[in-house]
Amino acid sequence: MVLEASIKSIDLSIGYEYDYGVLWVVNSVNIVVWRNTTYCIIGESGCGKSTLGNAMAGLLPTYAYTNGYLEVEGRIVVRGDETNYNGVRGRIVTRIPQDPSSALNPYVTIGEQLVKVIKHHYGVRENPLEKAGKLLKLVKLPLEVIDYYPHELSGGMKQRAAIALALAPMPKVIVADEPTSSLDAYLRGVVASLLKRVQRELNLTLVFITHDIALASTICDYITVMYAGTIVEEGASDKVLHNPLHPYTQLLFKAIPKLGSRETLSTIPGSPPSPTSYPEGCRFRPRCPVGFSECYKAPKLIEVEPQHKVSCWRYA
Amino acid sequence: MIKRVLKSINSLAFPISVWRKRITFRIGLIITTAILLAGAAGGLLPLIYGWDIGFRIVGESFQPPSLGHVFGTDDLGRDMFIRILMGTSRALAQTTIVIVLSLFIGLFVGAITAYYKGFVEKALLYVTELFLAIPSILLALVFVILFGRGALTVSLALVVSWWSWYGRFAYLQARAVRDLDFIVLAEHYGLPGIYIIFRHIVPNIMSPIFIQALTDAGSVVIELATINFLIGVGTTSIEEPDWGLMLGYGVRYIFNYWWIPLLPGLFIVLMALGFALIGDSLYEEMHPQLKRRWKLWF
Amino acid sequence: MSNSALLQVIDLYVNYRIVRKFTDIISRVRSAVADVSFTLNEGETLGVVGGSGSGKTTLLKTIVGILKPSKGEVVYRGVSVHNARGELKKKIMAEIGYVPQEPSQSLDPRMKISSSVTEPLRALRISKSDRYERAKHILKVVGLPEEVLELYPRDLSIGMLQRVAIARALITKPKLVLLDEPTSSLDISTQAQILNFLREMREVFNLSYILVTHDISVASYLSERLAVMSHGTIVEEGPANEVLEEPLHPYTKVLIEASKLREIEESLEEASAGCPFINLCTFKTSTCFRELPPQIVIGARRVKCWRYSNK
Repeated sequence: MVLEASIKSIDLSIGYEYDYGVLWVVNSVNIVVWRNTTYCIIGESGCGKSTLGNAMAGLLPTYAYTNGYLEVEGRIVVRGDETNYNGVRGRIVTRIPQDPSSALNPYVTIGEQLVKVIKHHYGVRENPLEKAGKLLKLVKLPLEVIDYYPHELSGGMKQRAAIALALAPMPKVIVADEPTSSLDAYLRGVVASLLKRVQRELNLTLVFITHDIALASTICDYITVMYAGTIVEEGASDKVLHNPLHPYTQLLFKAIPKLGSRETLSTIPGSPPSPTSYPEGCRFRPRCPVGFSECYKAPKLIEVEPQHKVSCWRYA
Repeated sequence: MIKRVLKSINSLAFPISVWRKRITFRIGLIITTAILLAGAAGGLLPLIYGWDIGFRIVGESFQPPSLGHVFGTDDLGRDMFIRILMGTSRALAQTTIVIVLSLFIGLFVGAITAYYKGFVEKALLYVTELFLAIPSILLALVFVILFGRGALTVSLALVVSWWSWYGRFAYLQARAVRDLDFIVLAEHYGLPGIYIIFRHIVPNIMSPIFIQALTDAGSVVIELATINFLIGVGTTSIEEPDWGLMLGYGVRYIFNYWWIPLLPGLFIVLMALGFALIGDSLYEEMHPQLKRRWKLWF
Repeated sequence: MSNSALLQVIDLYVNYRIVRKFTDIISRVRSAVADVSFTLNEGETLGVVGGSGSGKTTLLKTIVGILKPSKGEVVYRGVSVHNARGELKKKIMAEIGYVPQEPSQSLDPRMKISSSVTEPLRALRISKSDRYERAKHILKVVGLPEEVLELYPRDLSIGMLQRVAIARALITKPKLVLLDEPTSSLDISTQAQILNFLREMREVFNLSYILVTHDISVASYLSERLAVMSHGTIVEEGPANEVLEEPLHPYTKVLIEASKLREIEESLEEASAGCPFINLCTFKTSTCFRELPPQIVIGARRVKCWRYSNK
């Protein structure tokens, strides 16, 4: 099976304007997202994963600065400090936000919102209501939902409606930014499975951003672990899950409570650094259980085994 | 002791950062400082030169602005500069009374209305909205009829009219706060309502209301001036150096002796503008989500 | 450890009215919490697991005393929580600690940490210097430096804030602590810190917990007993290891599967009458469609499912 690149970035950096200049929250990131795969970006709050996702979807705020190169489905969207998402945003890439309420207009029924998007993208070529019905069936929502307002739906249903909305323009890439954080444990599984199924059936590329590794491990083909704006580990999910290499990844896996086990959970001392005070060299160094003198220099992403890369001096 | 001073200096960090960032704030602060200095001078003048300093005839009438009389003289030959300065302190004093009193009353009534819910809430809300509907100028007239004319009467009338504005504002803010967890917890541990209102609710709703009050100060100045412009009941005599009054009887001279109405008018506008600019820029600073995506020169 | 019942929840119902259209003359009554009963002994931890809308937060708030029950009662050490007044009520509340869900909202942003943490002691008329001493002590116990007392909530991270909230609950030396989703707003590593911390505190202070969460792995990590809640009622309850190894109710099974991270596709749909879990169940009988199952006791466990009745 030939893997084609859907999204590619070279030394991509993204920053935000603030009182004293620019805060870089994503630093020199090199990633490749293959077509027709589920690609998960995992990290704690503040590591820059949402920003990266926004950059892919074309939803960076006006006070954001960029550097480097980003290409989505063959179109160059970021080159140096210029961005150009025309024709890409909302058409080739769509986003599912964390809070489903922010994707849905509270004053308009679900059906109307779907039809609006469909009409915008397809004009009169297709019967919009029929297409809306198909989309709802795809996300397993009953047809009556067409006449419902967002506030009449439960959280899980709203999120499914948001997914249907994101699918309406038949995009090639969907960026799901923490789509399950506002849902309970049961619904998380349902929504994640739904996204995976949709990705498979419609041959999409799904970028799934979350802090919940356990959840990500159920659906992803590739995992990227981010910490403090950089990628610390990435690769095929079975490789990363069964053989985590970076100390951060290893500790993260050990911190998840497992059903039926009462062993004390291992924790990572301290807390993630804020972008205003990133440490020199390897950003995980202050919290790392292992440390060498090399760690004062920034490590590079190295391929340790096929489809598994780590950014850590242990493997240099 | 030193800690307290340092703490209060620390809280100046916010205004200092606003000074650096917004030119509207700088302009507003400069204007307001100038007004405050003028007011201080106006307050000191009678102490130094005597109580009748604003009423004395010092020269010929209708003298245009000159070195001797910086703002000229009015129709009776009184020095306009002195009268304007005294008008500044009058305006400041009245505005302060109105804003400070109505702010406090409104803040506490609003907090109490939101906290106690049920019947108390409905009743107090009704009262607040009742007062909100009363036009201030009419109320001022009624007060004057009942209590006689004068600056104090009119100021108090405006307090009675304005408190409800803060009352409702405070009520809406307090409503958002009353269901927050830390208040629920304080109730859980059995702390009395009064404690919760004073230590939890009021401090958390103060900020936006204070900033609103700054902007309102401008409106109050204009209201006071309007009352005196129209009917002059905010003074005890027609001779008082009140801006609105001066504007009112000076208007007839606008074409021939422009400085007589223009200067009081200008100062009314300046004072209102100064407060409004400060209030607006602080408000914008506190609500960055309203940040404009396009930048004008200011 | 004495086996005295610390807390008893008896036939609890918390109802609310729905008025769908203004032409409805009789407003319908729905139960946020229906027919909930359990007993908690000293030193025990009960984990209540349920999704959003299951009524678990309402249940907790009713036990704390924030909400009033429509039927039934909550009895703490023999005293009815909602009927107690004055000094007695203050004493009871001092023995029941409550940690709300969002650490960023459970502390007054305008008050120093020291004031927030010592607040529960004010009602007990403890002097200011005593209060401050206890605050210093409790901060040491939770592993935070004394300087934190002089800071404001905005200066602390979420993990530290949650610890402060727990410290505040502990300062009155409670016997029972009620925790509403203590780790749901935290990311994985902070969650692990707090969970370990809660265990430690339990040892140090000999506490009982009622822990409400939507994550069954978190609940099982801390609790000896589990209660699974959905649609306002407890559908299954029993010792944690038994419930996890041999779940009786279909919803429990689904929750366990979800946490074991397998793909799930079924969804709960509203049924008009009868058991709401029909879609999940392989065992449906005609009774399941008609009537809500009653509670059935099997050994140390209780479950609401027609399958286990003798008919």
